[in-house]
Amino acid sequence: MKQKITVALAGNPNAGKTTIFNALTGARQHVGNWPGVTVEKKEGTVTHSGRKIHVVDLPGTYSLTAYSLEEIIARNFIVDSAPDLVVNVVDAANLERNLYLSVQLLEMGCKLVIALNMIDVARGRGIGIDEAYLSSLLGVPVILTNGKKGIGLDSLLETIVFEVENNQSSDNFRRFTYGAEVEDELEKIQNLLRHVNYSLEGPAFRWHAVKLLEGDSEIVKKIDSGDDRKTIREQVEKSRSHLKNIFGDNPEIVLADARYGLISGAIKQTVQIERTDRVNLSESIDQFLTNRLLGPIILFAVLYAVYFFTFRGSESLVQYSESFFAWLGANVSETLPEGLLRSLVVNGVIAGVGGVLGFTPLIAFMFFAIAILEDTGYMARIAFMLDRVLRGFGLHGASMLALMVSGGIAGGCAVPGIMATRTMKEPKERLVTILVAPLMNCGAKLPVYALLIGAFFSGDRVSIMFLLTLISWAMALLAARVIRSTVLSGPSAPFVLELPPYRVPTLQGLLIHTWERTWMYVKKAGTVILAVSVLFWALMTFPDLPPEIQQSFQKKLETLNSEFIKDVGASSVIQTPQALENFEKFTKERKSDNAKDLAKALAAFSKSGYKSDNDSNQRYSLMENPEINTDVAGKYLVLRAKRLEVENKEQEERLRNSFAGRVGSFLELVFLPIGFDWRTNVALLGGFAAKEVVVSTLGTAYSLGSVNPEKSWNLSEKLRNEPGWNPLMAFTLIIFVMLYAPCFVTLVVIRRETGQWRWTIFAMVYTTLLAYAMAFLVKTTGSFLGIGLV
Amino acid sequence: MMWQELVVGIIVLTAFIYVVYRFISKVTGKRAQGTTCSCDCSGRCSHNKNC
Repeated sequence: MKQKITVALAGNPNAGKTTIFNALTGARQHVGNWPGVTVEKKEGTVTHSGRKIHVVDLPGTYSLTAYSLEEIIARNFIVDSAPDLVVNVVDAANLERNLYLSVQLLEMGCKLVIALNMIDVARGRGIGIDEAYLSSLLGVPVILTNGKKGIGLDSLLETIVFEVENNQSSDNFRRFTYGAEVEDELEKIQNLLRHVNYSLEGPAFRWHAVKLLEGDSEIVKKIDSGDDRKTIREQVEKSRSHLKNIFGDNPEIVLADARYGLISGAIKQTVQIERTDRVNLSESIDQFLTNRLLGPIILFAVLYAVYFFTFRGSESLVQYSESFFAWLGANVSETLPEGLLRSLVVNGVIAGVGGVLGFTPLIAFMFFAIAILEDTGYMARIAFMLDRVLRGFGLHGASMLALMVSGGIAGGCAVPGIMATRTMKEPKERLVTILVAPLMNCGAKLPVYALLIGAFFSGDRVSIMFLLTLISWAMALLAARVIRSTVLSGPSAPFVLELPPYRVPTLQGLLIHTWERTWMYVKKAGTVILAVSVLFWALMTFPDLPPEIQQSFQKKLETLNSEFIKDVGASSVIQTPQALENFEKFTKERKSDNAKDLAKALAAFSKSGYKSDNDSNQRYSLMENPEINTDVAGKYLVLRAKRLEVENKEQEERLRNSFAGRVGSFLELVFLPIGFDWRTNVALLGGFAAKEVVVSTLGTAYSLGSVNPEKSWNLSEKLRNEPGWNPLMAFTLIIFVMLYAPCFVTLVVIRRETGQWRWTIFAMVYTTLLAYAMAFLVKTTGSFLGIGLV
Repeated sequence: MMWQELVVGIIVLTAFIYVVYRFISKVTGKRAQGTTCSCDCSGRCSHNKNC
């Protein structure tokens, strides 16, 4: 038990701090000066529950920057003297301004108790505060006090003693973040500080990093006196200028905005104002955009607009980029000699990676739209509105952040989404959020959706994408409800949702955000997806068909050729296999594909130098007869169709015989009820590496299955023309991809965050079962009602 | 066509080693140690390479 407790009183000027100090310590005061300065230092003692409490009255400050002497004194005392606890005296009538200091104190990582003072004045102004809720939101005790009347002081002392004796380390500073870009820069600075081993502790590293980013002269001076100062200073400068480029504002303003965002969110949830004297611009916009009735309508309209912009805006660019990869494939085919390498490059790399890269414009448009929502501050409002819905499903307000990051609006990523749950303190809610986050539409699922929507729902791209967003939310909430009422039951805990002020985004900031994320997508296509495509190509190519089966197919082709030669030989020059081969080479050069062109080609062929030694001039002259030419051309086309059938059969056998084909065929037993053939099964297995791989694997599978890889291809067209594929099949696959097992990186993160393999396995199994059940439901309902079958 | 098989073999092997390396580094989490993934309430995410 600690006999002497040191408590610092901090607060804004005129918050009633000195009144509280006087009421607490009475005559047991000592007034002096802070060392080296003429600012008055008041200290006093009070005894409570047998403990002597030493109270230090810090100078009144609005914040903890280094702009004034008072601020420096206050924060140096907290950092250097490390009091056992800080009592933050807050003027209840000016909560927003006062809480700014509270947030900074929390950020310093000090043990904090908030004395909500002058509550009578606040009530007189029509301000009602739910102090219990405020306390749970901020994670610190909030005590109602009235210094003048001495109300709440006993309770305050009681809380001080209790908090100090329950010596739990405070990690409230982790409860809010400054946003991705700022956090990234803070992390870099913190890592450097850790590296040079300043004698700091957990929260202090972060606080020092924040202050350096703000350009705080005192802290800069402190760091400058240490070793490695150059490295740190360079990093700080780099970080500051990076943030300035993105936000178009100084980092100190960006950080202050974030703090006010937190405060604004907390106030919106805990304060009720009967009479409003002044409403700022953000508040007036909020009254409209987050209105209980209008808000959801506007939200749906905005989401619809995002998808409209994404799909319609990128439409022609996606077509161009798909055509580019088709052209590239065709050209590389012609350049490289026939063989394994050509197959790898064309069918493995270009078909696989090209399939994914083809959607880059769409991804960039989506990220641009999301950047607008984020940078204006509307994304936070979406979170705020959906938060109300979430609570009904037994989730936490903070779950909202994780779900939005995971792809609440298509385009996120479950990995950082799951990591975002670190701010959640309640283990059950955190766990359930981790388990449902992968059901959101992450950016990796987008190319799969885009491919299938483009192929089968080209007229309703926007509506289908909108519908998919609603389905993923419905599934996540449903899954959360079920998990929360079965394996993880318990009540929800409160959480602050930050509401940053509305801002006009800068074009530079939007472009930087879009570029960074699009580049990540392209990089992934060039690394993991490239490697996985190569492996899947190998799995779909080896082992080759046994020689006897190859020979039997070869024999079938030869028989077809001989039958043709026998049939047309009397009336044409094509009397030998060699002559047929010559003729085919000739037509290929002339690119003759239809009966009319072939008839002309035959005439030209008779005059050309493609004669074999056995061919006589008499027969060539026969070929100048147009009627005979048309007849032979027609028969030749029939031969080609028959040969194509055999070749297709051979390719299919080849693929089925490959490693991937065998696994896929085996899985057909399981997936037959939902209509997935072995190729789709293989693609879904590939999706386990990364969801985009579903597209690249389908690309490889259908490209390898094509007997004419030289011909320009487009995966969407191929799927559309493939037997067994129809809109219902495409939608069933979309639903399955949306819900089935998360990619392995997500599973690894689930393992790391939950600390248990059993939850990782649970996440994998339940999502796949859910995916199967929903796909089955879609398939059978669609088939029964006859929807999407053609 | 031996050279083609050799080149293809090298490419496939490299891809395999890369995928295995990625898997192991993710599972052991070496790259993620000491870092936090930063995401805020507005749904903004860094797509931090460490995540």
